[in-house]
Amino acid sequence: MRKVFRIFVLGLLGLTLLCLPVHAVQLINEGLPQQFVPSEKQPEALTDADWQPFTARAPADNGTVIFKHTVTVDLGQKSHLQNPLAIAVRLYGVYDFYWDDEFIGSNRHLGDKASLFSRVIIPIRSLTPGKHEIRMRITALGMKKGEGLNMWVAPAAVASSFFGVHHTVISTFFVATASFLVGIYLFVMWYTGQRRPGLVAAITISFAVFLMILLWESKHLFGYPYRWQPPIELLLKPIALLIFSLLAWITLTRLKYQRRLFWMAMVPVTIAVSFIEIGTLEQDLKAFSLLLTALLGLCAHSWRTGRPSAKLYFIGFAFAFTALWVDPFGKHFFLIVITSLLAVDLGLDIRLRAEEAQKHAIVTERLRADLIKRNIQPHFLMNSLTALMEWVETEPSLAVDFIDGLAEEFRVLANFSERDSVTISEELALCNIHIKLMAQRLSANISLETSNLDPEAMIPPGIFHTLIENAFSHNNYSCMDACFRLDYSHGGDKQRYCLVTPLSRTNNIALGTGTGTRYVQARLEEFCGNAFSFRSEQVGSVWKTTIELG
Amino acid sequence: MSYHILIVEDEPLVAKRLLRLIDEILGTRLNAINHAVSVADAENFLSAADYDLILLDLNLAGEDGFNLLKQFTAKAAHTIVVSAQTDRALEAFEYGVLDFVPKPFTKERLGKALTRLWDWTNDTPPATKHLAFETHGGVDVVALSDILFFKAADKYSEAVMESGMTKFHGKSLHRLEHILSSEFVRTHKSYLVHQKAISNVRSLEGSRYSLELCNGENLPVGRTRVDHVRQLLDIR
Repeated sequence: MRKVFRIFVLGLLGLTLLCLPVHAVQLINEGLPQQFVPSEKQPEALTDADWQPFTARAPADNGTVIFKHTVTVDLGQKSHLQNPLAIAVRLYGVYDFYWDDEFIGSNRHLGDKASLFSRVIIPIRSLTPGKHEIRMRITALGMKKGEGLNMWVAPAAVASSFFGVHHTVISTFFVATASFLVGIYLFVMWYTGQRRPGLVAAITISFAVFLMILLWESKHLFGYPYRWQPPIELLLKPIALLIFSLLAWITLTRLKYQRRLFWMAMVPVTIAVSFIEIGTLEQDLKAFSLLLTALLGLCAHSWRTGRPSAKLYFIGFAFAFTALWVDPFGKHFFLIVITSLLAVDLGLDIRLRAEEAQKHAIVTERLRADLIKRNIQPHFLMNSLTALMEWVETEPSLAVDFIDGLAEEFRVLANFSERDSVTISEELALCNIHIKLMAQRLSANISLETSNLDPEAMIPPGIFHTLIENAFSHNNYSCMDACFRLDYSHGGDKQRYCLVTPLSRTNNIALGTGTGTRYVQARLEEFCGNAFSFRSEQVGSVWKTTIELG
Repeated sequence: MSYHILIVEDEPLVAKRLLRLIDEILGTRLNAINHAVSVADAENFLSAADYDLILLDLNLAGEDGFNLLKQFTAKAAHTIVVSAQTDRALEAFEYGVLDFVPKPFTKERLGKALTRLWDWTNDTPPATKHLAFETHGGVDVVALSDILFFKAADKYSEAVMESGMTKFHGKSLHRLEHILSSEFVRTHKSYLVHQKAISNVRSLEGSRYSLELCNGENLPVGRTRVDHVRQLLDIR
């Protein structure tokens, strides 16, 4: 699935790179727009008919218009102001400003920096009480028909080039920063090993949102050449498409849908449907609305069927849908809801998995402790000590042999408890030590035969030792001849170990149900996840345990 | 008195040690001793002869120790548990075992347990709370608080329950008295009565006494025991 995801992302990037050169060629061929030429003509030379009333809207795409607007500057009783005023201008284009026919400012030159927000200082000498007239000549370069042309007069200190700007700058700055931080947060999670499904896609979305906002809204913050605007707008399209597609992909991943490529068909379908004209609705608004509707439907279905994260995504998308329509142009609320949703979901998921990892660590520690504990379990240890007492009082040399063997077994077990895997030869050595001890204690002749084993093959520590110990716990081999057999075979990529233990009685056996068996299964799970099978059953007069790895 | 003892132990070395130490401790008090390595083996021995004491390992090759305990404490013989499962010693005492000897054991500790066969003087009060009765299907465990009194029935005992039901127990009244708590009082050579079941003691003609029970039943009271019973009633 990761491979499919990579192909998908690379495909989108490829598409983006393909689009850019095509448009660059168009720009070179067509040249830059030249509608605006700074005026050499003084405003006195213009007749009133040359001036249009200020409409506050761009009358045409990239058009040049001459406005006249009269404002009243009420200076109260003061005959003169101490501080200058400034005209704060929210205008993406080229302009000249005249104050009572006096030229006071311009950003003048085509090809110079364009900034949506700027200011024009009104000289303090011109600020006399009464009515004043502002005349403007504006070429709305980079602006679309209907976009707002705002201006207002305020003390110059307030109407500074940054702080005097509109609240949308703050909003832009906030959303971009939030998206960037979410991206960094998720990246750090990924980098520190939290390789969760959908994480890479979420990181990509967060940075894509950051980049899109930066490109789309940078006119609020920085001036850049007018000619940059068309390629920037072109670049925005594949980024929006990337966000659009990844949003669907993450949702399908997080809701654990199996046929994700099939469901991804919703992306081209919603884009195609968005081309249908519905009033004056923008295409991106229609596309995102349709996608969110489809995702809400999926989430509702998943919620009903109890899929993980479905409730969170349903609520998140409901908020996102609302946010999209609250701010259809800027989409700031929408983007922040989406990035927050991803951060919250992945944060919760990672916390859940951290808790699982913690539990796993505890289980591992418990397994290690179990390995030791089972050899100091009362039945084994106390019977061994009782036997030792008897030997000490009757046959001390046997006691010495037994203590030596017991010490060796504890040493090996202590070593095993610190490891995740051991070689077959190490495991067999431990089994033989235990068998020798039990044979001495039970006055029995017990052996372990093996066939086809690879001495260097790795297995979880103590699993065959545990199974053999289990056999001693559930059988009475006292004064018997007993032979254990451990065989290895393999088929395909599966390795099969088969341990056969003799039964001292053939009724009421519960060999495969105890803590020993649970220990072995837990160790196997720790060793190879779910890629194993464990079967333990009575077969005639023997107990057969089969472990398959792979 | 000499004792007939059965060891139920699957570990040969432990059994060997028990055999050796019991022989050394009891000396002439030992009548005979047998060793069973499994429950089936033990049943065969018990059906073939009367035993005074069973030394029982609670972990016989995977058998459930407490099923064994219920099974063996229902027998006529006293039971001493010899086990590594010391964490369940208190529970074992609740089923009426004479002692619990933890493994590994010394000669002194085993001697102390065996002494309880004939010497009760240093004993702490028994902690028995349940009594196991052999039934046709297996073992039935009854809380002592549900039993009104025991009546001697040859070598065995008959327990009369609050519900009116009766059950036969393998142990003699003498052995039951040994393992039951002080709540049960020997009112007569043939009766062992739960104190809570006694309503009154009545004097009858000819220096005879009768014990009135809460269920309306009357039991004879031994002359030598009547004062003790009256004292108990006064205290109550």
